[in-house]
Amino acid sequence: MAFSRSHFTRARDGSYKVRLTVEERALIGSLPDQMEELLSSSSDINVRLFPPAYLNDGAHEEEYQGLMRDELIRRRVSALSVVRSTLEAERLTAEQRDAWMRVLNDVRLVLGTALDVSEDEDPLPDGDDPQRIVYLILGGIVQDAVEALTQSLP
Amino acid sequence: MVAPVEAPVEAPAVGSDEQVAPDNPWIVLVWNDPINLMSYVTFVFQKLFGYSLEKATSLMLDVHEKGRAVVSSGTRERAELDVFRLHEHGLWATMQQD
Repeated sequence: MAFSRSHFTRARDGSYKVRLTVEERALIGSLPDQMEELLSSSSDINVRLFPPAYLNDGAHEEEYQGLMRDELIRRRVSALSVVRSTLEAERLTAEQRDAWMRVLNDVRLVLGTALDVSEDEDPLPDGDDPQRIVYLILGGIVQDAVEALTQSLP
Repeated sequence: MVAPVEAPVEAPAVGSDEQVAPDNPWIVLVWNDPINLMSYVTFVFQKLFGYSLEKATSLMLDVHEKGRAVVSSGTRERAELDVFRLHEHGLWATMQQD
C-alpha cells in the first residue's frame, strides 16, 4: 500500500481525482444493479445494512424499522444512482465521492457477512476466492476514499 | 429528512420560566464489527457529529478495544436520528435509555 498511488486525491477546487483501472471501474460498475436487487430482497445477507436500533424494546424497534427501513433503502438507492451516473468520471464532487464510499462500504458489509469475516482471521487465507478478492479490492478503495475525504475535514 | 418519531410532548406550564426537566437522556452506542475499516469509522464519527480527529479516533478505539462506545446522547428523537444516520453509513448502532 505504502508505495501505490492513491485511488483518490483531493484537488484544490475541492473535487476528487479518481484513479482506477479499467478492471476496477468494471467491477464497481457491476455492483449497483446487484445491490439494488439485494436491498429489496428479504435475504438475511443484508442484515448489516439494516441493524436493529433498539435491542430490548420490541415496540420501539418495530416502530423504528417501520419508519426508517424504507428511508434507508431510498438513501442507498440514491447513492447507487450516483455511482451509476459517475462511473466513468475522472473527477467527483465531494458529495459524489461520499456516495461512492457508502456504496462500496455497503458492498463490503454484504460480502463480509457472506464470507463470515472475523476480527482475528488472516485477511488472505484463500487467494482464489473471488468474493474475498473483491472484498479486499473494495477495502483498498474505501480506505483511499476515506483518506482523501478526511483531508477535507477540520 | 426522516419524519421524527412521535413522542408525547411536554408543554411547559404557561408563565413558568423553569426549564422542563428533560426525559432521561438516551445514549447512542456503536458496536465493534470486524468489517468496517477503522479509518472509515473514525471518518463517519467526524462527519456525522463534527468531532475532531482526536475525539473521533478515541471513540473508534473504544469501539474496537472495548466492544462498544457511547457516541452521542440526547432526547429519544435526537438519538433515533443519530442511529439512523449511523445505519445509513453501515455502522452497527443502537440506542437505549441511560
